[in-house]
Amino acid sequence: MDNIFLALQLTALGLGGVFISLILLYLMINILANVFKDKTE
Amino acid sequence: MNILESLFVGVFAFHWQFLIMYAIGGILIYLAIAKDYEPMLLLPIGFGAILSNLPLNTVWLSEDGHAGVLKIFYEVGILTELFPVLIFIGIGAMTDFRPLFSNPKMIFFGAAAQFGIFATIISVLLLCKLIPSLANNIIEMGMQQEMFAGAAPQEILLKAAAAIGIIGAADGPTSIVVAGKFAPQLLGPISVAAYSYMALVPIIQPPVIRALTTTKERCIRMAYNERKVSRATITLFPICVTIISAIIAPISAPLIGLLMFGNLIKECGVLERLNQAAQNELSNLVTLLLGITIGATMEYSAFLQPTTLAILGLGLVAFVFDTAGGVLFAKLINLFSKNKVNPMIGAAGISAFPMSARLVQKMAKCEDPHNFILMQAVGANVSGQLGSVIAGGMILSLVPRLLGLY
Repeated sequence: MDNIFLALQLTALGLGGVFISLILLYLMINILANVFKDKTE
Repeated sequence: MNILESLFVGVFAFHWQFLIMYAIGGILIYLAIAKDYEPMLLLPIGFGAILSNLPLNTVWLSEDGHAGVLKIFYEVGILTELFPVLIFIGIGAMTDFRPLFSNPKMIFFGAAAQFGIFATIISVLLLCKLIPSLANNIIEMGMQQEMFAGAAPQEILLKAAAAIGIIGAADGPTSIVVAGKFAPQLLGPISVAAYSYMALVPIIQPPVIRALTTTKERCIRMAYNERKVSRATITLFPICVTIISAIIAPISAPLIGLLMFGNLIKECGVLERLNQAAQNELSNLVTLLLGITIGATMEYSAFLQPTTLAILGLGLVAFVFDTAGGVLFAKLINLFSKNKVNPMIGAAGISAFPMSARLVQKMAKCEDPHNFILMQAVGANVSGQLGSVIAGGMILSLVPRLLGLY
């Protein structure tokens, strides 16, 4: 049961970590796209 | 008599299990040539499997006891992460992240579709609970590795489960890095499963998508406004991704860093020769060496184990849960969003690029010939490439911490 509990913790932290990273990348994409707008747009 | 024996040393050293491995190698080569399933990898892996099951296995260990040519490649290229990381330079140079700028929300599907990794880790441990002999087999194989000298069975089991789960990253190099660090004894079957199922994405994903969506949902149209991306933006993107990812998961820095380095070479616009070299010469050469080296780890005594069968089954579970995770996440978003997302896009959040995006577009077209969601699917698909590397880094850093190793 110990192992399953560790795996559940790993799922919560791992998947949470991936989401947090990609949320930061989402913000970064929006900031970059707005700060460095294409002049022809 | 001794001279006669030395003449037939190959015959005396022949095991019947070699024949099974030749058949397995032959099947991989057949799939590569006849079915065009990931031929760049399955063919070298198949031939490597044959090479490592020749009498005396001198490609691995020479007669005088020194490392053979493929063991040198293994120690230099796989255990050090060198080959996977070099491949990432090529992948980065081949990837265009522009569709992500037109629809940045697609990036979240790259996270949701990593669910398969974690669901598979739990499945491995549940299966080991149900079948204790499988757990014993995994632990026994691990015990034979120098790196696990004095390690607790729990450590070997959890690391093996994590290495098997990473098949769900649908990302060959990441699977190789994690397996090389956590379960080198399982590297062969994990790599074969990862690359085989990536090639089988067009067969695995459609039934899962259909089971979880209605025809009406599959017909949802999505507006696509192409956003022009400035050169400054697309050049700064790989640099910023590297820094942010390395802050969250420092251990993923070699993978994401060189993936993004390859992308920077492509996007900077002044290194066309290096860009072409990364996409072609570097990528081809390392793929060739990587495949044959992985194949060489498939020595019969390590490969013909119950664990291999379990890995092949669990690899399928990983891809099914990846697809389900992405589709269900898209349906969850639709509950709260005014602009509905076609839930099939969620399935494209895996790293298998561009197969998954193409498949989603094909399925959308089957339901409604005028529905065009390819660019959104490509956005989710390239996000999957980022998500899978970050997930690999997360696993590499979290597992030892959860085990209390540091």
